[in-house]
Amino acid sequence: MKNVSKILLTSILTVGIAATATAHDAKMHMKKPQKADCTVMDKMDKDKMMKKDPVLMAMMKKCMKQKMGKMKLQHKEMSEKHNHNEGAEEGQHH
Amino acid sequence: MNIIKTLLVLAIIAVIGAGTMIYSGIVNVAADEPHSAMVYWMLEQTRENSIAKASKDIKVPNLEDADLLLSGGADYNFMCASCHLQPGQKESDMSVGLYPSPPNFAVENDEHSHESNNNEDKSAEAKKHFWVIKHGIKASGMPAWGKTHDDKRIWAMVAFIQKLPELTPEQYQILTAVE
Repeated sequence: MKNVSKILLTSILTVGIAATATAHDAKMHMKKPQKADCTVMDKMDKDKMMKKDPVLMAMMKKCMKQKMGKMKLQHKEMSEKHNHNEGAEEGQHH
Repeated sequence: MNIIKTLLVLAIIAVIGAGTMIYSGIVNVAADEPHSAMVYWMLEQTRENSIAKASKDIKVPNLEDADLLLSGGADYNFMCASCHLQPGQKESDMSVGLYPSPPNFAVENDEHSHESNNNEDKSAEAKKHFWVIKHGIKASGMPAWGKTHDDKRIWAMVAFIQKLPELTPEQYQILTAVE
């Protein structure tokens, strides 16, 4: 009985220590791809910036691309919705 | 004749000394134990002079280009930032653990700020960065990215590194984000 409680106590301690040792889990060091946070661009006073600054131009390119991607997706969703509605209406006529 | 004998004795002593150093295990290679000031200076001078010599004939392309920054930014974030840091970051596990410590490219150090005033020095700095990224540095933790990346991608990283000290964390986030 004494041995069982010793094993149990050791196991609990081991699990407890292992649980606190996750700070250096390799997964925590992996970088997840993130989308550009272009809300910062909207707040910027672009008139005060140098138009030929490659940093600003690169940021604008990245955010324009993101905006265009969003618009394309919205357009696709709307046309799909529209087609679906038309199909439903035709079904009612027949 | 005496000179030859003396040189021979010195050579034998040098060989025995080198052999003892190599095979006895007395040299501490632990990264958490710094070199003596003398050894550090010798290694640093050797490295800096070697890089300067090897990179002096490299031709620097126009690095003031938005597309280069976007390509270089994404690569920097995945390949370099864990050691060389990013705006707003003071240290990482790698920057603390590696010896010698990798330079922090997110801040402008005295050497860089002085050099940025001079286009010639800026160009020399770009050549050095290109060479180091492409060929790496032996026993330092710096890999030779040229084995897996072409020159265009390496120049893009150089272009990004040149702009890095001026970037805010928000600008860095946009430039390095992957869609």
